Amino acid sequence: MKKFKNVGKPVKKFDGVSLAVGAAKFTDDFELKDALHLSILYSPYAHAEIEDIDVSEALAVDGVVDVLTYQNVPQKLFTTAGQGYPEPSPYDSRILDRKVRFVGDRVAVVVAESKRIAEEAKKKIKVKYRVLEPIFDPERAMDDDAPMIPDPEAHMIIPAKYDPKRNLAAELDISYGDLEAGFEEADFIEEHTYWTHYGAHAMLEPHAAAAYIDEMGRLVVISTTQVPFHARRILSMVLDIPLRKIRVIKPHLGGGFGGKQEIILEPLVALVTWRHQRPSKIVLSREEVFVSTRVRRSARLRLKTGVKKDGTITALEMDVLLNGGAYGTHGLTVLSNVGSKSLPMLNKVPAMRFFARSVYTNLPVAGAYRGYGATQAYFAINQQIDMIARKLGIDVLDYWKRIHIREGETSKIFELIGEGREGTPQLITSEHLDEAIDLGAKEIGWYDKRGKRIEVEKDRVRGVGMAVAMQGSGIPLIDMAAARMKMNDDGSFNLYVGATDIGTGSDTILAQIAAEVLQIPAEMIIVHSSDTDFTPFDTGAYASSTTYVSGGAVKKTAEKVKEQILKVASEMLNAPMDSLFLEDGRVIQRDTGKSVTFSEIALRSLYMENQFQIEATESYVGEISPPPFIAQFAEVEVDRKTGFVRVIKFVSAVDCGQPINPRLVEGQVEGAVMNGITWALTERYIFNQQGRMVNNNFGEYKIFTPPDMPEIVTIIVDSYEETGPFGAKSVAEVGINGPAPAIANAIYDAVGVRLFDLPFTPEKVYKALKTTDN
Amino acid sequence: MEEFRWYYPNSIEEAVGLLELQGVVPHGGGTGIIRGKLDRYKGLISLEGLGLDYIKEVDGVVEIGATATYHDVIEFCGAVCGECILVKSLSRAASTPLRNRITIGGSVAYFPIWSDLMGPLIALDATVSILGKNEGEYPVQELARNRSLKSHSLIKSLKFKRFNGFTYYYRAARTHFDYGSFNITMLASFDDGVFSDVRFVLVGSKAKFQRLAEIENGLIGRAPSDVDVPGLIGELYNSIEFHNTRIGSAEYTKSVALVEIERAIYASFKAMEGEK
Amino acid sequence: MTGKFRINGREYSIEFDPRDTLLTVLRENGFTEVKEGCSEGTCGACAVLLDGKVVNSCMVFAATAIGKEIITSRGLGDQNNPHPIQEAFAEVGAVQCGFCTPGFVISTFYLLQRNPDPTEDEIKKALDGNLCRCTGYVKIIEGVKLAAERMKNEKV
Ligand SMILES: Cc1cc2nc3c(=O)[nH]c(=O)nc-3n(C[C@H](O)[C@H](O)[C@H](O)COP(=O)(O)OP(=O)(O)OC[C@H]3O[C@@H](n4cnc5c(N)ncnc54)[C@H](O)[C@@H]3O)c2cc1C
Ligand code: FES
Ligand code: FES
Repeated sequence: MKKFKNVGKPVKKFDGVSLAVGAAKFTDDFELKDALHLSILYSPYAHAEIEDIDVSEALAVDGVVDVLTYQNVPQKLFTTAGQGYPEPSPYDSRILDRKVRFVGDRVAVVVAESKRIAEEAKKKIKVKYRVLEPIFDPERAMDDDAPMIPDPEAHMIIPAKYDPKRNLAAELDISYGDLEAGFEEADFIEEHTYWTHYGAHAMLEPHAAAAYIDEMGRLVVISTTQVPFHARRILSMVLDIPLRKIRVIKPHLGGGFGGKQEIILEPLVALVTWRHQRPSKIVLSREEVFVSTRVRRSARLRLKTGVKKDGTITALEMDVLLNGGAYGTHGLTVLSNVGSKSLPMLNKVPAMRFFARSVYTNLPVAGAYRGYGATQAYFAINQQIDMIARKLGIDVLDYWKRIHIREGETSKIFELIGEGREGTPQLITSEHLDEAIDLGAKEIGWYDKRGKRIEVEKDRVRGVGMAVAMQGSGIPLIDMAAARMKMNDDGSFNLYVGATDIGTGSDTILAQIAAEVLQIPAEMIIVHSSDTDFTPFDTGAYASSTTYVSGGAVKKTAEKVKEQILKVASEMLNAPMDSLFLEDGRVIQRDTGKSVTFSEIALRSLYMENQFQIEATESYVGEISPPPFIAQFAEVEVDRKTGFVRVIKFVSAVDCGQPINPRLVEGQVEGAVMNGITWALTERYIFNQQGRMVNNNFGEYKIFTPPDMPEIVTIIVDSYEETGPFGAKSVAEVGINGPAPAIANAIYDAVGVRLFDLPFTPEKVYKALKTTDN
Repeated sequence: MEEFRWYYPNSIEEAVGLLELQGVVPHGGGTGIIRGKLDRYKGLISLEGLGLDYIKEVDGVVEIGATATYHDVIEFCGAVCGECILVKSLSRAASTPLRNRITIGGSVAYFPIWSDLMGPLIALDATVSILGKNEGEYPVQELARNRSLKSHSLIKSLKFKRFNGFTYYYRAARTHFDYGSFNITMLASFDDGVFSDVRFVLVGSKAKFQRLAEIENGLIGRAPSDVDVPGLIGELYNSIEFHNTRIGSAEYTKSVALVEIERAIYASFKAMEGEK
Repeated sequence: MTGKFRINGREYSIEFDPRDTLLTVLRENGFTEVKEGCSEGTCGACAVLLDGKVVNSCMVFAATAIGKEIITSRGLGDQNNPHPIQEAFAEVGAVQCGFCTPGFVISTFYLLQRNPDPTEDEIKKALDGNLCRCTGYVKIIEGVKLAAERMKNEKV
């Protein structure tokens, strides 16, 4: 363990008290005088063309200012994906379109003096639809007779396989080694198909956006965005407003998890405010969030492995079909990540093929979601490995230790799959998965419980299961983050970062990194983040990039600042720079012990001699993306008579490098774990025959409240990533990958039924139990 | 939008008078009304000024005023008896903040399929006092069956005899805070190793609520060792039906219900053994 | 209609639509610490104390709160003088995005008023009406425990 002053300490999240009190402002909390309110009319059909739309009656309602339809808004195609430029997502969306592609697609937007008026007037819009045949089954999406869902002009702006006519949003076919020979050589073939389902991010704060014109006539947009800089770029492009006239502010954000990495509402408020030169605002209802924002895409994964009696996996083939819903946003990149974040785990397999497609259907739109494809892949892989280990008659823990990737090793997959392009070769620079497995096993009581089928009460049987996973830390050679820092009179610093704190505490850990460099308490750093006018660029909060990439930028910046501080101090102390060191807000001369305080340094440089502002701006681009590793363990209790499954205990042991802030690290894992558990058990999109989601509220889309919680334990494994800022890797996503497969494996351990299809509703478990019993 | 107004009567007579207005209904906790279509109403009558938030027990008869909340009942009955069926069932209803709002009167009037109140009330043979158009005292079952009794009427209170025997409550739900899919209430008294009184209610089936006479008759007068439990459950097979519920298909829900009914019976056996 | 409300110890005369919920009235009058997460009684982000009892303000007609004492999270403490519950939540990491937190603070306050020394199980049950998607609740429960301990010691 290295010694640090700030890093590794549970520094209190800077905005914690403000948030707990309720003073911190979220998008909907800003007072906008005389704002126009927007209300969206949604399509009742899954697939239809608007033949005629009559808004005259709505416009006639007192207080209605405008009604937007495809006829009076810019018709540029763009992608709602908040990704870097050029976006690896298809340009297949318009602000409002003549065609609607799912129940919940936008038809019109009423703009009125109040929300009530807008909602009332909305009912007076008359739309004539020409209903088209919908496609709900992704397996059918590419059939010859399937209707084409996307826009005929839809296109990618990067070279990638994209075939909108066939409803193909993305395709990858990657392989290495001799697959056939591998399967040939195997003693047995293990082949199974797995299904994962849609999921809602269910962040507590609904999506919202507001806009106003500032005193200089510029357009200011406040929104619930994980990607303010991408939002600004895309707004400018779609609305033809010069980028320099747009400012995007991310206020406090009530959770994102990927669901706010999309440019959905910003174009509406921006357009209305620009057109009417008045403030405007929209806040979605919970129902709208479920249906009309974004979801986790569902997947069908067929996994074929050739295995020798000694346990060697000789070949592996993964065949994936993703259902991205009505638009292609994030299709290619999630698809890439299904392979690139999972297959390297099995790097010793000499031959692999990864064939994957993402298709369009007439269901709600999939976007980015914590885990980003890896979650789907690990659901399959972890069950497959559990089954193989059982067949081999060895403990799955020992088996994983034999087959997983190790420090100093690489995987061909890193090179072959990138983000919509080829990947970057990389060596694993830190990996402590064995320790994670051992610590987790101990905590769950693996050896006392595995295979014991302990019946705690009549018909209530317990079992344990586990899963491992890795993720990445940013997108190498793509994600760029910058930071700026300046020194104040009292020796405090303003730190400006484009990085987007969406509730993760990134403002705090970035301050800890800067404070570590300067050897001052973190409170001496005042953080300002995510305002396109005032903070430098950052790609945003996604791809587990903030700690590693933005943290890298902050560290570089602080180091530059440190150099300037030392320079001034060396003048003041009349000593060479290399004889000086920093401690507790002072610069000290090693030999004499003479020192100057930061404040004295600041005062001198600001007011007295050789005046200049001590400040720096630096950027960082990761050359590699060191994966965090995790081992997760579930203990479940299955009611053999009814199929009800209860998670009793859930343990995660994570190698995320040096934790910058252990409390926040644990918080990330705990949140991801809970999200993963409910996705496995109780969350569920239920559609009717017409493709309408029928359970679009928290009353029916079930996530846990505190009494549902199992015991949750998080262990941070001792680790240090040399390339990361003070040894850190990412942690935000990796924890969501294990719960579903660990629970599946635990259910098998308890009652001997294998569940290939999420979610594990009690009825599914019950039916599986019935078939095994007989 | 139509005019919409609030009435704040200070006496029961005044409130009853207001019930004659078209489109004006009593407001209990508002948790049901607020989520419905408000256009239906011209006005709401606040019941807060009527002093109906009382709970009392006289000679073993508990009387609960219409505006007492779930929370009030849990507090009052919990203090008297830890095994009270209403404490068990209402503690599982909705959530802490909602239980502070949901009223007994509103819940009897509204009687949603997920009600955690009605099963116990039916088992307790509770009666409901109604004022207004259909003034009178009705068995709660009758009110549950005949919804028209509610119109232009005010539920004033309900009464039941305190039950001191074995109580059992089961609620099928996906998570802790969830609308229940069905629930089971069992009350039983034992006398010298045999069942002297059994009341068994299922809420949430196609019938919405039903007393399971098969079980009651199969147990009363018998000792556990004389009861053919599988036989009893088998008998039930044809008398309970479900729609699809939140926990699953109709067929599945029925299987779970049968399992849980069986478990309730075994729990009562165990309790009887414990008493000995 | 117009009504007088006592909010966080001050009296306000507020005009509102008779169909408005207490949540709407509070938010429109600047009490934005009361959050709207669902508007159907299922998330608890809108929790306030109404005459000392925790309620979902989205499930309460404003017209029924006239003349009553309403306390929001900001009524318990502010940034520079946080309530021990708010302080404890921030300290243990119970606050991630914080959107759910004012609601949890209110539910916790209600619990600790009635039960100063709750067990873990009692804590969980008392928070059964509050959703949080960020924390997995682990640190929230820790925060409640810490707050309970500090509040007990304060009283002694
Ligand atoms: C999210 C949520 C979850 C819930 N979960 C559960 C649960 O798990 N279990 C459970 O039991 N309940 C549950 N409920 C409560 C239930 O659904 C109803 O909302 C509640 O029972 C209605 O009671 P109230 O006092 O709020 O009635 P109100 O909303 O005030 O009124 C409901 C109806 O009853 C009428 N009414 C009210 N009082 C009287 C009276 N004194 N005389 C005549 N008519 C009257 C009203 O005019 C109206 O028609 C839940 C509610 C919500 C919002
Ligand atoms: S907004 Fe009131 S409970 Fe969710
Ligand atoms: S901290 Fe984000 S919802 Fe609770």
